[in-house]
Amino acid sequence: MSVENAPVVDVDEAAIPVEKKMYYRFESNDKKEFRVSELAIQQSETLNRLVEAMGYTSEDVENKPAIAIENIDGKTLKLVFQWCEHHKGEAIPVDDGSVPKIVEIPEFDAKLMDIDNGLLFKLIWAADYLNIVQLLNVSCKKVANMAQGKTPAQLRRVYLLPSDEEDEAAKRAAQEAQDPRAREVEEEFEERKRQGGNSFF
Amino acid sequence: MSSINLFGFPIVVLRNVFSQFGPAEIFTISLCSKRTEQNLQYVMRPNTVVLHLTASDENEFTIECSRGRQCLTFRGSSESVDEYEYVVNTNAGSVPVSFSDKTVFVNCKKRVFKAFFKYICNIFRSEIGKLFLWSMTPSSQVPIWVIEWVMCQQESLKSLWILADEVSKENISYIVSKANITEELNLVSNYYKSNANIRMRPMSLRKFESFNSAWFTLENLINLDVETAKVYSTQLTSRNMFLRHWVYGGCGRLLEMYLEFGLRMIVDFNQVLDGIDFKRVEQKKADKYFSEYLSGFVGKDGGFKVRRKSDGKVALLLNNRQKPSFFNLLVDC
Repeated sequence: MSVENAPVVDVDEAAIPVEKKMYYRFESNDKKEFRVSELAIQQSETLNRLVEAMGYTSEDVENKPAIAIENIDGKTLKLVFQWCEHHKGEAIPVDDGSVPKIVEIPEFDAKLMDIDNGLLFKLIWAADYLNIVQLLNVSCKKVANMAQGKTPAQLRRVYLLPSDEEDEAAKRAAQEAQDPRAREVEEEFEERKRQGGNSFF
Repeated sequence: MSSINLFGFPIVVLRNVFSQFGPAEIFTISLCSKRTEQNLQYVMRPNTVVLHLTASDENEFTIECSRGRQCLTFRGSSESVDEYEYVVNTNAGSVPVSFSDKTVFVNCKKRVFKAFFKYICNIFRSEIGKLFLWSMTPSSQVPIWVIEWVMCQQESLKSLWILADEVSKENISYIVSKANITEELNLVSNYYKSNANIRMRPMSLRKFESFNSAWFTLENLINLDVETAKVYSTQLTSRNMFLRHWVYGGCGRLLEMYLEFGLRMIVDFNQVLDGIDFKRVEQKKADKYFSEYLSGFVGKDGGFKVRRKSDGKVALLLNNRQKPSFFNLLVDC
């Protein structure tokens, strides 16, 4: 039977019991408030456990203060909740440890992550902190893709990897920042070693 | 080019990123600094890159690294080159390398080969899975030292292939008695000597194949618990003993066995089946079986069915009229 020929049934929408959706309120560390659906929250294992433990009713959600998320700013949290709302109801992937991880970045996620790397860095930290498995997978995929076709010199720039010389310089600077007496002792020790002495004392 | 502080992420995130890298990205990161090379040990999950090492007597080697669909090949040679892009620092010295698409050309002195192999195993945190050694130059020896090195680094080796014109008795002895091969052993050589008294350790394998196997004895065959075996030019005379061994519960994994006795020898089924209960089976038209070994369907001749006493498995001993020098046993086909 074609779609055109299918019988049309009138539905009295008012007669269908609609489950009332609950929206939780969260507050970022810069005091920005967000309303997030119960289903969207399920994408975050951390938040899901938190709201389960709180056992809020619809009234509590409205009357009590917003749940504070202390270490994530509003700009990052907005991206996180946009992602959760878009992917609400989707199955959460289980990490079975298989490598390579086969991760595709959907169009919505690609657009959401079309941000500067500073914000991407915060988004990844937030996804890890809130334990949003799939958001972590796609954002890590974006970071992994940055390495494709790069030379070691380019990778050092992309991933801010210090060269051996920079590591050495940082180590020296850290030593110089130490207590001057401790540094003197260390230098004396090195000098004695160079001279072939077996024992410092 | 905008940047992101990769090692500013927590370890869980780093492991996620590194599990999405291909071998080329992992190798390139290892070249960035000593610290990044060391950090790979913490962020790489073990044995997630498949490593196949090929080495020849010509001072050349190839290491194929694959992770899913992503591959990287190292081609090593001891011939020195003037131009190179990067240096791999190993314990035994520095190794110049240059990239070309998915291939890394390695200019490696022979004394540094082992250190370079070790470097590759370390950065990928993976063992050598398949080893292929070859030597087709008369009078040159297959580089057995590579197996010895692999066996010092890891407990076992999944697959070993030897293709060589010259292989000594000592070499074959070492391979079948010392090397711990767990899935596949393939020996193609010109070692013809019989009565070599080569002792073989009990081996459990998926696949065993040997050409010019005059050295191969009944004791060797009985020590081999294998799914599929192909042994060419063997001088085994005690086929009946092997069949009895199988009927009474030996070689429990066996699915297919091909023993070939050279053109002049013909399998005498009266002798092979002496003292064993069997049922004669006539050839049917279009009667075929799927050969795991050959990965395809093969015509099935008539033959003799024998039943295993311990578990009731039935094997068909083929009466191959086209190939009378073959002892061909198929289990549960």
